[in-house]
Amino acid sequence: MIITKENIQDYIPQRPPFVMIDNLLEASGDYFKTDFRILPDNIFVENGKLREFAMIENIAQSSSVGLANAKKYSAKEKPEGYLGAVSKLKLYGLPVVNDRIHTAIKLIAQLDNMFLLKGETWVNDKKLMECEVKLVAV
Amino acid sequence: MEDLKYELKRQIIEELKLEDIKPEDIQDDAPLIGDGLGLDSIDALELVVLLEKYHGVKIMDEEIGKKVLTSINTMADFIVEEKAKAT
Repeated sequence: MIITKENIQDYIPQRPPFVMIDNLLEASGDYFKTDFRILPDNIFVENGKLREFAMIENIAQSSSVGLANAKKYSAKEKPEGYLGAVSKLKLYGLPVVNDRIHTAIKLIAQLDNMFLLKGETWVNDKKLMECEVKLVAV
Repeated sequence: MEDLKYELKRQIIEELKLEDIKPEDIQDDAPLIGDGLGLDSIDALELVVLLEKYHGVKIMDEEIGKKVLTSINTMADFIVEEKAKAT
């Protein structure tokens, strides 16, 4: 485990209850892997399932942590940025409370402080979502 | 060179899903970002991917990117130059 839940907020601008990532598990070159457990008190849980936009947020936050850890841009004391676009989104299912989702991120392209990344979210061996996100670090 | 420029236009339309635009509508020297084709700066990332995916050339830094992603002409010139270097 590279970055744990206790320190993850040093790498993203979000604060509870909007933190949608627990740990950075792996990082190798342009690949990152994170996990996140869906707790019952997550504000984006509805009818026992995590909502779609929270899963997109998980992919975006996983990307941010991976990029910050890999020092892909000149990080300030506190990382800031925004999600510029979400595309090629496919949703196959939603995680339920107490699931631990795993998110795999691949950096596809970088142009200065702009990043195009592909994310896939899984629970056990079932893929739940995939999409591409464009992040801008400011 | 004209074939390459036409291919680039077709690839940009396809990758950026520019509905209602035909290759003939894109001028060789028109700005791709902002006025002209109307792409935003984040769309430039797609152009970086397109250059690598279809033409095997990489943009390694922002300064080169700004020059290369200016127009169809500059993109085509970059592809030709990079391929010449590789041979």
